[in-house]
Amino acid sequence: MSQVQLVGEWQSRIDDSITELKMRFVPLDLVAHWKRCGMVADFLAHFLAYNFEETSEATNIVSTVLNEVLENAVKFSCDKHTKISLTLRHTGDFLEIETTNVSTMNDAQSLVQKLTRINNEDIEDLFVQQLEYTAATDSSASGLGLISLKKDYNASLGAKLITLDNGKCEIVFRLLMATDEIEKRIGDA
Amino acid sequence: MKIQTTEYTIDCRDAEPYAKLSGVLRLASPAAYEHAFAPIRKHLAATLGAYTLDVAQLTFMNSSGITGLSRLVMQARSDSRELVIVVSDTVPWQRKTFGSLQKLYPKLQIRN
Repeated sequence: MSQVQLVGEWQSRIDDSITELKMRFVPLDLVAHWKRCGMVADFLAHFLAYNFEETSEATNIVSTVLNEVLENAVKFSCDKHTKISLTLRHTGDFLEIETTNVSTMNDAQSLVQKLTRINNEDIEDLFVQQLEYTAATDSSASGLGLISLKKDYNASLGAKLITLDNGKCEIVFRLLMATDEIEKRIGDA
Repeated sequence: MKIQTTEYTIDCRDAEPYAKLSGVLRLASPAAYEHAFAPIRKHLAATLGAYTLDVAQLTFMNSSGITGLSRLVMQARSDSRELVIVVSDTVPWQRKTFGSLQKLYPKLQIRN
């Protein structure tokens, strides 16, 4: 029987999206040509950016955020043939990005630890600690993406972990950010 | 030395402590950036004086790239080398990210 665990800030503010876009991928396609992650992020960001006054700035921010979330879903898919999904939802006030992928239990537990630290520690300190740590290791992932999303865009990050019968874990990751984070930056620039 | 791909350009000026990154850098891992940034590391070691890294025309970079850049900052830190990173206010992702890199190396200067 499946076990479900909620981690971090698992929340949704979007009941009735103005915009909802969902895509499914075989991770292997993105691993084989990594630039496809950026292509997908750019496409969705360009599509959404027309909802904002300054489309080029909105594109840059939304694409940056989408790319980080999608890259993580691809990297932490344990079977590169098992499909992942990426969903982008938008209302006037919030942007929600959700991914699903199947990972190893070890990677799922690492995500739990990371989200716990992100939600409980000083985010600037955590960013610098992670830079120092990653610089000294040969990790295939920087571990910096989620920290950056919280630090730079004040995003809420949460996940639902579903333990599968085969010992793997399905991860539904959700990022929620206020659209003020996009508009505010435009105003500041 | 200039490396040009369809996505990005890395230009290390001969005999001048200046390198420019432009375009879109979204490589797959910190290891991929180690390879891409090897010419800059070599250039940083081979030149003298304050080193300028100009990223103002780098429109996108992922978090693995930030790790790659932080390794360059740490190289400058370990040599007590003066390092200036030139950024652009018109590229939204740049400002906060580079401000945080100063915590790694207080002598790092960020200029617009």
